[in-house]
Amino acid sequence: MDACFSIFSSLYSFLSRRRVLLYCATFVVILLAAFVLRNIKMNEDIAPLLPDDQSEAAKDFALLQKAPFANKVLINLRGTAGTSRKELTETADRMSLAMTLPYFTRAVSGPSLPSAEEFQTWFTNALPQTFTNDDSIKLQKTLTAQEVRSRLQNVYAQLTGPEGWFMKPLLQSDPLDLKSTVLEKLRHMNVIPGMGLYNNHFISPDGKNTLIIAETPVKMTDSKGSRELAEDLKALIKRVVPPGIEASVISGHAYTTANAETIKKDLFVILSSAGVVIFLLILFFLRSWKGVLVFLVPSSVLCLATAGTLLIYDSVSAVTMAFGAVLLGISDDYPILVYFALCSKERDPKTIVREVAHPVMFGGLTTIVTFAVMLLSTLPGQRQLAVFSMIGVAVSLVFSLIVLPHLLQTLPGEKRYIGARSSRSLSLPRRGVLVFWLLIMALCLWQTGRLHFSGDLQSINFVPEDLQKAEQHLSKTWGDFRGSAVLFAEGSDLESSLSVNDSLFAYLSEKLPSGQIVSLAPLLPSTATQQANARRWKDFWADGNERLAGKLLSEEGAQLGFSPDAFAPFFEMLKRHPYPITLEDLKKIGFGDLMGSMVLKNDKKVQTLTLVPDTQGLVDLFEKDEKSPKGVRLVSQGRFKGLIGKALVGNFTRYIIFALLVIVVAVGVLFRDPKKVLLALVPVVTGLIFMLGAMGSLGIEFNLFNIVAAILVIGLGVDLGIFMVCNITEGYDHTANLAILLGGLTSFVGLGALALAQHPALTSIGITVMLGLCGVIPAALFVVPALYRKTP
Amino acid sequence: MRTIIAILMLCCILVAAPAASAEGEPADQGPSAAGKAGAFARISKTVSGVKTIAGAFRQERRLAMLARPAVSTGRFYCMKPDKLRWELINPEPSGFLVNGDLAKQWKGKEGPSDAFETKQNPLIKLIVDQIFAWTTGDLKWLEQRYSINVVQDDPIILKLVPRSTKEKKYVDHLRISFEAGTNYVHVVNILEKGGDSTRIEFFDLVINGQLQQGLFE
Repeated sequence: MDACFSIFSSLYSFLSRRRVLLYCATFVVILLAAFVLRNIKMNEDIAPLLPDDQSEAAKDFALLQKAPFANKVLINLRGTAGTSRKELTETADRMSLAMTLPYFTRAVSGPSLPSAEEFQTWFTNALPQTFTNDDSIKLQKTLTAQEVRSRLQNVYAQLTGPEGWFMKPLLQSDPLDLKSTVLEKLRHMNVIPGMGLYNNHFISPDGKNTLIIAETPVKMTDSKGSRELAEDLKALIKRVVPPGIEASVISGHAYTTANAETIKKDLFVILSSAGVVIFLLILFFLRSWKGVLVFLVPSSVLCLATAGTLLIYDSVSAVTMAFGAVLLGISDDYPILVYFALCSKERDPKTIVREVAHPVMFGGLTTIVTFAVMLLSTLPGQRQLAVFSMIGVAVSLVFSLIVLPHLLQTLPGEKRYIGARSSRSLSLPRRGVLVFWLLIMALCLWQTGRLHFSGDLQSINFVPEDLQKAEQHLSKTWGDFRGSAVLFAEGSDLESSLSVNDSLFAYLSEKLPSGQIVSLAPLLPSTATQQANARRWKDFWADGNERLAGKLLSEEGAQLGFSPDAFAPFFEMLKRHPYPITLEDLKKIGFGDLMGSMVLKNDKKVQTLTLVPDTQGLVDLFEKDEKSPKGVRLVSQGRFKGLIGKALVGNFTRYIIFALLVIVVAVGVLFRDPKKVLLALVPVVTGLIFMLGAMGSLGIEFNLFNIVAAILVIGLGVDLGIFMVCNITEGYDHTANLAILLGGLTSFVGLGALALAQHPALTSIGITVMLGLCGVIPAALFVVPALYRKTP
Repeated sequence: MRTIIAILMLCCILVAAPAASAEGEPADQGPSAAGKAGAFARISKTVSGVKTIAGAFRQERRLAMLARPAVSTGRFYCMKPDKLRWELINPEPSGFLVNGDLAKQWKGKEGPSDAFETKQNPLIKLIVDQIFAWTTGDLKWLEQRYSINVVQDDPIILKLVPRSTKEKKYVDHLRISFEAGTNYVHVVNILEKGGDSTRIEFFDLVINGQLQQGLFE
C-alpha cells in the first residue's frame, strides 16, 4: 500500500525541479476551464429533478403532463365591485386578441359553442346513437297522458310567445322534449365546474371573474422560455388590463419561472456567502496568507468541476450549481489536511506528502465512490450532481497532493495556524464522551421511527405568495379542475380506446355521483355501443311506443288545440336511419378544443381521458378493486405522491446499502484492521443516526431532494473518520484535530449556505445535511479518539 | 352548465329561425321608387320625434299545427334607443325586457330571471331587433334584411321579402301596415312559406308618454 502512495513523493521530487512547468500547466488547465465556462448554459428546468426511468412514477409524471389544463396558461381577470361584466369580458377579448405568437398559439375567453345548423343535425342523429338503457326507462315514463299533456302545454306556451315566431320547426319535430336527453349528456363535457357563460365568455357565478385559456408552444419545463412568456404576459397585462381589474396568471410556466428565479437568487446567496465564510474561516484558523493558497484549491475545483460537467452534459442544472457551495466545503478538507501536515518543519516535505496522501487519497476516493452511488439515481439531476461532485473531489485530490505542496513550500511566508504554540488538545473525558454519545444515539434511534418520506412535489416547489393566492382564488372561483385525477382509457386505435372508455364510464357511474364525471362516453360512445344504442332506440319505438306516442300526442294535442298532424315531423324523425357519431363530427360542431384535450393519439395508441375528483377512495378503487375496468390507467397528484414516496424509500434504502458497502470495502482495504475500520465508520453511522433521529423528532420529511443528504453525510463522515483514524493511529496530535475541525466547519458552512436558500428544495438539503454534520463532526473529533484510546 | 344547455338549445332554435344577415340579392325597387321614397320619408318624419312608445297588442297565430288560431294579448313599452318591455298577459303571462345590452325574461308567475346579455341569447336579440324596427319604424335596419315594396301609399302598407336565403326557407314575406294619418305601425303580418301566418296588431299607442319608472329594471 505504501508503494502506491510513494508515487506522490516521487512526483513531488520530479516536479520540484519543474515547478514553473507545473504552475504553468495548472494555470493553463484553469484557463481552459474558464474558457469552457464562458458559454455556460445553466438550466433551471425542473425536468432533471424528476424521474426519467420507466418506473410508475416516471410514467405517471409523463401522463400528468397530458391532463387537459397541464400545459395551458390560465389568466383570471377579477373585477372590483364597480366592474361590469361587459367591461370584464371586453378586457378578456382584448387580452386574448393580444396573446399571439411566439408565446401563444391560441387564447380563448369563452367556449367554442356548436354552430347552430350543424348542431341540430347532429343532435337529431345523436338521439338514437346515445340512447342508453336509462334514457329508455326515462322516456317510457314520459309516455303517459299526464306527461305528454304537460309537455304539449309547454309547446303551446312557447308557440304563442315571441320565441314561438322562430321555434315552430323545432317544437314540431320534438314535442316530447327529447333534445334534453342529449343536452343533459353535455353536462359530462363540462371540464370547468364553476363555469357560467356571459356573452359567450367564461364567467364566474358571482360575475366578477372571467377566464382566458391559452395554449403556448413554450414547454413547461423550459425556464428560459417560461420567463420570456411571463415577461410578455406581464407587459400585455400592463398594456391591456385597465385599473380596477386584477389579472392573475396560473400555469406550470409560472411555477417554473418562480422556481428558476429563486434558484438563481439562491445561487448568488449560497455561493457568495459560502465562499466568503469559508475563506474567513481558513484565514482565521491558518493565520497566514498561505491560507489563501488553501482556499484557491476549492475555488479552482468549483471552476473545473463545472467545466468538466459541461463537457459531459449540454447544460448544468442550477441545483447542481447550488451544490457548488457544498463542494467548496467538501473539497477544502484535503488541502487543509495537506497544509497542516506540511506545517511540520522538521520533516522532509517529500515524506510528508507520501504520508498525508494516505488519508487524503482514501478519504477522497471513498467520497468519490460514495457519490458514484448517486449515478444509480432515477433523477437525472442527481446523476449530474454525482458527476459534478466526483470531478470536484478528484480535482481537489490532484491539486492538494500535487500542486499545493509546491506552492506552500516555495512561496515566501510562514505556514501557521491558530493555537500553533499551544499544546492543548481537544480531548474530553473518555467515559463522559462515550456515555453521552450512546445516550444521543439511543434517543435518535428511537426518534427515527417518526421519520416520513414525502412524494409531494409541491412541498419542495417554491410557490410565491401571489401565485399561491392566485391558485386558491382560481380553485375557489372555478372549482378545482386543475387538480382532477385523470383516467386514461387506452387502446390501439380510437375504437378500442372508446370501448374501454365506455366500460370506465359505466363503472364510474356506479361509484361516483354523475356530476363528478367528465367523460366523452355519453356523447361519443364506441361504434359498438352506438350500434347497441341505435338498436335500443329502434326497438323502443317499434315496440308499440311509436303508436302510443302517436295516440297520446293526437289525443292530448287535440284537447289543447293542436291539429292531428301537428307533429308529423317528429314521426318522420323517428324513421330516419342514424349514422355513427364520430370524433370529427364533434369537432365540426364546435367541440374541437375539448376533443383535442380529451382524445390523445400517437403512433402506437389512443388514449381517451376521463376526469374525476382526486380522492384516496378513487386511488383505492383502481388499485384494489379487481372489477375496475382493464386498460385504464389512473393518474393523479394523490397517487403520484404515493408513488414518489415509495420510490424515495426504495432510493434511500439503495443509497444507504450501496454507500455503506462501498465505504466498508474502501476503509477495509485502507486499514486492513477491523478495529480501525469500525472506528472510521463511527462518524458516518453517528451522522446518519443523528440526522434521521433529528428529522423524525423535528418532523422534517425526506423528499426527492434531501435524500441526497444521506450520501453527503456518508461521504463527509467517512472522510473525517479516515482522517481521524489515520492521525490518531499514526501519531496523535492536536493539529489533526484542528484540520478535521476546520474541514468539518467549512463543510458545515458550505451546507449551511444551502439552508439560507429561499427555495425549499435547497433549504431542505442544507438543513438535513447540517443535522447529519452535527453528528459527524463531534463523532470524528471526540468519539473516535475516545473509542480508540487505550485504557491506561 | 344549465347556461350551456340553454345556449345550445337556442342555437338549435336559431337554425330554424330566419337569419338576420343580409345576402347579396338585388333590392326590390317596387313599382315606384318615388312613391317608396315618399312613404319612407313620411314614416321617417313620424318616427323622428318618437322617444317613447307604449301600447297594447293582439297576436293571432294561424298555424297548420293548430286546429284554431292561437290568440294572445299583451302590452309593450319602448324607449329609444335601447329599452323594450314586451309583456304577454293572456292566455299565459310571460315576457321579456331589454335595457341596453342586458335582458331579463320571465314565464308564468315566476319573477324575471337574472339579467343576461342580449348577445348571449341570440333569439331574444333577434326578436328585440325585429320589434324595435317595427315599432320605431327603423327602415334602415329593415332594408338591410328585406327588400321592401310599398303596397299601398295611404295608409302605408309595406311588403318585406327576406334577403337571406335561410330566412326565405321559412318566411315568404312580412306585411307592415301603418296607421292612417299618424303613420305609426298598426299591423305586422308574418306570412310563412307553408301558409302559416302571424298577425300582430298594435293599438292604444301612446307616443312620448311618461313611462312608469322601473319598467326596464
